[in-house]
Amino acid sequence: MAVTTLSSLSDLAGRLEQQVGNPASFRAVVTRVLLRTGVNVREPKPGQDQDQALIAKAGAALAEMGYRL
Amino acid sequence: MDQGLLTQEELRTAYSSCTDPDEAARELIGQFGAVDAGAVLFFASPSVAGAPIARALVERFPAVPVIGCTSAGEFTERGTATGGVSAVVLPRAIAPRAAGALARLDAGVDTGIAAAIADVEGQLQLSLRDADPGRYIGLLLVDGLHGSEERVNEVLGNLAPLLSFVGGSAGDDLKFAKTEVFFGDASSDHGAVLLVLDVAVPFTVIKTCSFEPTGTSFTITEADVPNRIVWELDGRPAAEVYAAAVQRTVDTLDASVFMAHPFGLMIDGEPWIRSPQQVIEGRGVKFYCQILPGMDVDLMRATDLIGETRAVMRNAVANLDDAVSGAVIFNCILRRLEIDDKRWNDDFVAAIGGIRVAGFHTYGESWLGHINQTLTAVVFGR
Repeated sequence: MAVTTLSSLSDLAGRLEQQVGNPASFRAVVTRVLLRTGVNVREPKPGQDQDQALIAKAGAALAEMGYRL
Repeated sequence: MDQGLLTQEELRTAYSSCTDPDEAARELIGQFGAVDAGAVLFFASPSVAGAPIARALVERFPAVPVIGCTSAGEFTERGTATGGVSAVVLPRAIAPRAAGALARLDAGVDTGIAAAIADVEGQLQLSLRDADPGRYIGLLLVDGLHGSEERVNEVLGNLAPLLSFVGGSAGDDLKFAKTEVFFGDASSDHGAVLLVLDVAVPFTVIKTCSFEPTGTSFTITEADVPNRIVWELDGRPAAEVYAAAVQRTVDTLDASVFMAHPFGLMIDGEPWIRSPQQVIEGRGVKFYCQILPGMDVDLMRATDLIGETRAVMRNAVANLDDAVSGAVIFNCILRRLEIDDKRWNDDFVAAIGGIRVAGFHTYGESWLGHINQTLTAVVFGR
């Protein structure tokens, strides 16, 4: 099975937006991620976009919510 | 207003200051008038026993969910008070289908919430994960003393990430001894009640607070997350850093300072408030909700609570094309204390704008997560 890797939070956000579809729902999901992890996947701070620890943290929260990116 | 003159699309609100629960229930039911109910909510001071009120409402409205909780003050569009009961009927014209469930959290939040969600899904014959968030809305009344709100909201988010659950944490008139939630004839002092509505009219969710960033921000560098204690900000003792930022010494930090200067987790320019509660061991700061290591937070300053409430209510009404049937509102106890302190009770009620509302002053607010010093609400159109 091919394993896809996420290179950045922007990449993660893009894939999530595609999966969720509706912009309002996308905002709700990324807000849930920020509230439970502190990671802003939509507007990461400078230097955070490719931080693998943050990508993993956000990815794990999204996986809990049923979004496997 | 005589509620007998209202259309079947308007929320029916009621308030009783009676401490005898049977008499209070009679008053509430009398004020509702003739209404085809879709769901019923009540918010009762712990000085009025909630269980008899729930029983009476279930007897009057046997075919629909009846939910409630204890409060730290109650209000309708006609006034705000403590020591009584506020209640609202959501008419069937607004919520043709509604399903509720009591989640008992004693054996674990995950298990309790998952069982309640499954129960609601069974009643509605609907997967909440797939429910249209423009058509369905969840209401949440959750225990206010066990510190479970973050996990409750997370599990709701895991099971139904797109569905909004809006609500508040039950109060007990600032005694901090016992809060209760009610569903039908059942109650729990460590539980959560879910109510999912299939809504036949447009609706909008409100989350508002009266704070703005001061321009000073911190990164949480050490925290005891389950106990909601922040030990370090920017690598230094949290109490010292906070005290310096608000130009105080640690030993002069008190409730008035904390209320005026909470932290805000900024999302899309909007603060999601985390309110300090007390200094711990001279170096940590305990909050009313969790803040995680690595989070960046802004120090906030108070703005105009009444003006902000008025503006957000007007905006919600405008978003619903000025056709509103009413709202259910959850308002933080810390906001109530500011309202009481500044004698803004009438102004707060006026800021709601005359639309039919019922609500209570909470020990925390919920929407997508757990928040403090905030007002959350669902406003229903026509």
